[in-house]
Amino acid sequence: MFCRQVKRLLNDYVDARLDASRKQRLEEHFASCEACRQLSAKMRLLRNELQSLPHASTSDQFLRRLQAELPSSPKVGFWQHLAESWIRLTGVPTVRWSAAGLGIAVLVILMALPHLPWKGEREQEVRLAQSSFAMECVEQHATYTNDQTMPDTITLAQDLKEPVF
Amino acid sequence: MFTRRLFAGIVALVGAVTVTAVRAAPMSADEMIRRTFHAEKNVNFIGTQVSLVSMKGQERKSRLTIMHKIPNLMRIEFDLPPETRGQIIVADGQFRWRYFPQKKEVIKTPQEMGGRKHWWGDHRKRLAEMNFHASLLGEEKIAGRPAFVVQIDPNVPGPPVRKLWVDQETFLRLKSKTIDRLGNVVESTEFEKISFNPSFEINAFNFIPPPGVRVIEPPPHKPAEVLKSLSELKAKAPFPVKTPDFLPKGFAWDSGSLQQHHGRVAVVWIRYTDGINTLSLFQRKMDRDLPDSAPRPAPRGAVMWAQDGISFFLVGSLPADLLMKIANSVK
Repeated sequence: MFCRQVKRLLNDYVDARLDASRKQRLEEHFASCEACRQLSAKMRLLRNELQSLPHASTSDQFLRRLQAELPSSPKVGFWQHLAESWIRLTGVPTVRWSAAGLGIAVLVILMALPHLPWKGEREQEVRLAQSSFAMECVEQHATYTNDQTMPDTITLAQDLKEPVF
Repeated sequence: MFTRRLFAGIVALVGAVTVTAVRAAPMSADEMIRRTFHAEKNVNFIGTQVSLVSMKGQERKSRLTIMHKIPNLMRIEFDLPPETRGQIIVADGQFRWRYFPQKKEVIKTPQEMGGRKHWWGDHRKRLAEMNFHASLLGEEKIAGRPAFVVQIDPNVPGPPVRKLWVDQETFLRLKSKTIDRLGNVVESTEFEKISFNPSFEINAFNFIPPPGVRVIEPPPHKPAEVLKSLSELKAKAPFPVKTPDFLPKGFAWDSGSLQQHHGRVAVVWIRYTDGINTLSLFQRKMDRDLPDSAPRPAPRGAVMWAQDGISFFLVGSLPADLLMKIANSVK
């Protein structure tokens, strides 16, 4: 183990938060490195000194003033939080993630097309097609039976203003 | 308005019905009807006709000006109800044009169809003889002209009773009533005024669509497409053809046809008849998504519904409840 690595782990060592394997390798290094051994001894001393200091308490008024002085923390939206979490978790760059999201969104829209708000317009188209079909049927029936007037078709156009179906 | 098909069927009754004359008449009811049918095609006239139609508990009144010129030219101008004013029907001998100015649309239909040849055949004649009988009831004046009163009754319950007032000089029908099984008048027509052999305007029987008007062209009708049997029609139809399990007594197969839209068969049209009345059942494969729907009343007293992507349309001169019963039996 090199001194550089030892210095990085020294805090955890003093706080007794290293696993047995790392602790052993660190102590092996101390055996052969006077500088790291002294550094470790100083840090342990400092830690002990800090722990021996009396516990300082603060008044409620101080805490309220401190709260008022602190800048308000920026609000992170759910999606931003989710995206940041995802990026932290996967390491996938934002651009790629955005492209993937866009693709999924397009797919979802395509699948949902029949159920989107303009479904009403499509139904209206079907109704119009059927109304047109109804009119053609009436006219053909009238022609076939040589019924040139068919008085009750007079209001046909008006009737068809209402949905047939 | 009472239709020519009635007279076509009634002609077949000659020699097969009992004529009950209320008072002495110069000829039988059947002979009058025969001459009435002849007059429909062979009399030049212009008249104002009022029609009353009872639908859904309401009575609708309409007023038309009708012009007829031998042999098959017709012009009908709509005056009432107000929303129909300006609508025109012109039969120019080749096509029948129905013009809706408010919608800027005109529906163009061939005036003669191949299937009509079958109309006049022995099949209909036999059905008319079997299902109806005519009686002469008396004489009345209509539009200032003396007329014979003739009644045509079905031999079996179901079809409506028809009552006609026939001009004594020309034998043109001046008035008619259609009476349902309960005795209610469901449809009536009457000429308020009429003149014979008038001079028509030169373009009275021509129709040129105004600019900007959409012409709904007819599907092609070829004689070969008119089929004389249901089995033939089913064999040639591009989708499974459905037929009614129930038909009113006296009705039988008349004819059928396959129609094309955009070069492919899309409409199956089946006709049934009792010799006088005709039922048309249209079945169209829709190009668009079509949700299923139960039979429900449609314009012209017809019934419309949808099933398995096919739109159905049943129309005919029968009471609404009978049409609905037929529609519900289509499988």
